Amino acid sequence: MNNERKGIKADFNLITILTIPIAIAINYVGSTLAGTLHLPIYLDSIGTFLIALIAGPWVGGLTGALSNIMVSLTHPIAMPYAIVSCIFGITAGFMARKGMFINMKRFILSGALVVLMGVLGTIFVVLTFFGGFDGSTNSMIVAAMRTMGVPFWLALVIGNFISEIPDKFIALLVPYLVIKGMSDRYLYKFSNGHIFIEARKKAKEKKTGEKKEEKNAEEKKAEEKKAEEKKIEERKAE
Amino acid sequence: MVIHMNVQKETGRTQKLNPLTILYIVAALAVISVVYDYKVSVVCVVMMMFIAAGFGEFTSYFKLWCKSILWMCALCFVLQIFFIPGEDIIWKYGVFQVTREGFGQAVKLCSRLFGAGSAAILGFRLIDLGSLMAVLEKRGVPPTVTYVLMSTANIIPQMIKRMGAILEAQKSRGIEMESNMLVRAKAFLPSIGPLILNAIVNAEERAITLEARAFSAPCRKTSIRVIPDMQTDKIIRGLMIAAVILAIGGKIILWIVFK
Repeated sequence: MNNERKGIKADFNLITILTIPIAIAINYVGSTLAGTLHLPIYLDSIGTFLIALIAGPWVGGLTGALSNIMVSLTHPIAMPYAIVSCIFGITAGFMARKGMFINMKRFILSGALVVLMGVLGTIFVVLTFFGGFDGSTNSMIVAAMRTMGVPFWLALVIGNFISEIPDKFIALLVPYLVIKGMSDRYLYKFSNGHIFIEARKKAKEKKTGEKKEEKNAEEKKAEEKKAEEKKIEERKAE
Repeated sequence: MVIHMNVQKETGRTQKLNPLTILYIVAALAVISVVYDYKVSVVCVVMMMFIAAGFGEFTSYFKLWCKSILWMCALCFVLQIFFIPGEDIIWKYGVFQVTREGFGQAVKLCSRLFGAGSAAILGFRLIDLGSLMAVLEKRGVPPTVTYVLMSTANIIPQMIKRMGAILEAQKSRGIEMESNMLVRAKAFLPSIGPLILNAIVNAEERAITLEARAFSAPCRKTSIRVIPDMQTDKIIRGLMIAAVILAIGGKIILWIVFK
C-alpha cells in the first residue's frame, strides 16, 4: 500500500483491487439512477473516473473495459464501447497524475480533453461496429440531424458532442467532489492519492499564508495608528 | 462426490457440462456468426435456442433474447437502412430513403450483432459465474482477477438495494425526485454521493477481512469447489476449437477465391 513506489504493479495494490468491483458497481448504479430520475444522459462512467482519478490510468482503463464487459452480458451493444470506456479511464488517470484535477480551472480543461477523446472513440466504435447508428439516444439525435439535411460526418460529430459534454462533465464532477470529501488517510492508500493530498496542503498553506499576511498588515496598520496618535499627543504637549 | 453435490445445490441448477465447455460453445457460435453472413447467423441463433432448451432454460433465454437482442437489432436495422449514406436509392418517402449501400451494410452489421449478442446472453443464462471462476482459477488465472469478476457480480445487486434505501431516505427528507428535469438532476448528487463514500469505506473493511484469509499470500490455494471435467467436456472443447479454426480458415479461402 506504499504509494511511493511507481509502475503498473504499484498501481494495482490490494485496496485498489478491492475498489475496482465497487467502481464497476457505481457505473452500473449511476446509469440505473439516471434512468430512475429520467435524466437524458447515461452517467455510466462515474466509477471509472473515480478510480482513474485516485488510482491512475491503468486501473481506470481496466475498470472502464471490465465495466462494459459486465454490462454487455445483458446488453450486448455495450461490448464494443469497452474501448471508449478504457480510453476514458486512461485519459482521466493520466490527467489526474499530472495534477489536472486539483482545482476547478484545471478540472474544466481536463474535462474538455476527456470529452474530446470520448467523441473520437465513440465515433470510431459507432462507425466500425454499427455503421453510425447503434439505437441509442445519440443515434436518434444524429438521425434527426440527417433528416434536416446535415451531412453524415458533421451530424455524427455534433450529435456526439451534444451527448458527451453534459454526461462526461457531470460524471467527472461527482468523483471530483467525492475526492474532496475523502480523508487523507484513505486517499494515501491509492497511487494518485498523494497528488490530491499535496494539493490540499498547498491550498491550506496558501490560506494560512494569506491569513498571516492579513494579520501582519493589520498589525502594521495598528502600529502606524499608534505612532500617529503618539505624534499628535506630543504636538499637543508642545 | 459429496462436495460436487453441494456445489450443485449451491448453484441451484444441474450443470450438465463444465462451465468452461459452455463458454467454448458460446464463443465458437459467436465467432462463426460474426465471420459469416446473416444466413449463418440465423442458423447459429437457432442452435443457441436448442442449446438453451437442452439446459431447460429456453423460456428465460427466449424472453431475455426478445427483450434485448430482437428489439435492439430491429431498432439498429431501421436506423441504419434509413440513415447510412449511399448513392443507389431503392426506396424513398419524403426525407426517408433507403439506399442499396445502406441496406447492405445494415444487414451485415445487424447479423453480427444478432449472432454475437445472442451468444453473449446465452452465456449469461447458462454459465454459473462462481463455477467458471473456480475452473479458471484451477487453470492458473490469478485469484485477483477471479475475485474482481466475482465480487462485481455480488456487489451490483447489493448496491442497487442500498441505492433504493438511500433514495427512500432522501425522499423522506424532502428531496424531490418527480418534478422537472432540473429538480431531478439536483436529486442525483445527494443520492449517489453517500452511496459512493459508503462503498469506498466498506472496501477497507473488506481488505482487512481478505488479508486475514491470506488473500495476498504467495502460495497455491486450495478450493472447496470441485467442478467435474469429463471426457465429453474435453471432446466438445476440442471440437469447438476445430470448428472455429475451420470457420476462419474457410472464410479466408472464400475471400481469396472470390477476390
